[in-house]
Amino acid sequence: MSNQIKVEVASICQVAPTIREFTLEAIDDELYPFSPGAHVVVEMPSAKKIYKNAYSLLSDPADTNRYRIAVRLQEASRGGSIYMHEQVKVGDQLLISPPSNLFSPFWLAKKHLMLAGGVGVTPFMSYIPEMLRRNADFELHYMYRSLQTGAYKNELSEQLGDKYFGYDSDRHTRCDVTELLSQQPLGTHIYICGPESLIQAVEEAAQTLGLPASVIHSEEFAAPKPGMPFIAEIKSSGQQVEVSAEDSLLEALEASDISVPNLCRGGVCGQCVCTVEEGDIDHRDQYLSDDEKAAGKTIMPCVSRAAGERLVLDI
Amino acid sequence: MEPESVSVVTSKPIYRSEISDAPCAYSLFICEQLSTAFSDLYQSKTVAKKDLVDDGDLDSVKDQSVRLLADAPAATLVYLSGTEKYMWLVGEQLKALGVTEDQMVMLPPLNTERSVFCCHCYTVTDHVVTAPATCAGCGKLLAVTDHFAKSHAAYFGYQVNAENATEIPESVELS
Repeated sequence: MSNQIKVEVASICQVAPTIREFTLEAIDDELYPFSPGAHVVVEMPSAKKIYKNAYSLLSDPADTNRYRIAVRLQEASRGGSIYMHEQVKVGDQLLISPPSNLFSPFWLAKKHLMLAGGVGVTPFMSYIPEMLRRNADFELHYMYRSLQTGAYKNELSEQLGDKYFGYDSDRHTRCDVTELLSQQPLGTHIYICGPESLIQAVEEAAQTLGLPASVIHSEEFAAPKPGMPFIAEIKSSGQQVEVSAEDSLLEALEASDISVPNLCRGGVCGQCVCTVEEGDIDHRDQYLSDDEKAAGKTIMPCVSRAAGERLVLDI
Repeated sequence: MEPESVSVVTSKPIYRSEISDAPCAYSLFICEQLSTAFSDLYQSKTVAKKDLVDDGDLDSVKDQSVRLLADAPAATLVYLSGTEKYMWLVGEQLKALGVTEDQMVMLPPLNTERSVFCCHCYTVTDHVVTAPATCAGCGKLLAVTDHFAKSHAAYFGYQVNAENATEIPESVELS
């Protein structure tokens, strides 16, 4: 991509047992301004192949001299987070996309309730400075496991005082989501960033209590997880593309010079949607609705795979 | 050359008379004029707390909404009954208090009257039941579209005979 920005890693900091923070500074041009909740896609040229993962910007949006991102070492990492943790050193250059935002706060809300799970605290790191400037009513509820995650918990607690609530499941403190939601006043908007299990638990609690769906906002970038190898057939050309266990369908298509428009590469933005002509789909994205997933006519190739040995794509 | 112009914007709200039993912690019932049906609906809902506002005056409804919703929970549902214009204008007031559109249940309007927004002079003409309709502001003869503006609680109207003033289309009853 021609609009990528070249940045230098200015510093690296271990912010939790499995999370590293990278400070990125522009080399040629100035960095673009960004809005709270924005992310960038970082290109990681490992020896095996180029990984591209989306990471939320966690610096203050008012500071355009540098971007900060935090990368959690994923247990089932295909190489992206391992590359960031083991290969990237201070002074290295990286290519990143300009910021995009799929998780902006709803500023007309009367109150903002942020629910973070582990490294999912990162987008809220860029929300908080702006909310403080606007004197917005907000609370941060941060769920983590101190043996692995919990980045920034001490500074957040200190900075936010009674707006901060921490839950450490390695110390058996848990958040009662239903109780928390039931106490919220009218006009509260709820933002969730964390594992799918957290997003689901909050959505279910909200539905049971009768909170409107329009006040629930969530984001989870799913780094593509490996699966069984399969063949993707291109309907228009008859071309057969082999998708290995480690590659995503989008990566395999790109390796065969078939370009599919894409943005977040994490199953959130919806840019890379493809029509499926034949074959069962293993949906792993946050973008398609349950009905669309059940219909089995569309796939998000950045994270989702074939459920069988073959998929025919109408592209 | 006759340019072909077909209006494709259709945003006329759809109202459902069956009310689902959605869960909530507080229900507010607001009506322009209390009907037996609305009263029955209010009686039938079992919810931890509920209130009924029977008031056709928008300013007064606003004051009461502010008071009743001051300590309302996020799980609030508002039921609205009245003319289309009343429901949507109350809806606008509620939005400012933090109520979202999916927290409002609007019952089928009490009549088929439309408010029409004139795109030439910006006047809203009320109680329109037939099209074309004469604008109360500039007197132009307006085609009444199905393009509904929620914040105005009105349908988009434009001059139907701008090219030829003698052309007066047949009057049709609006639904």
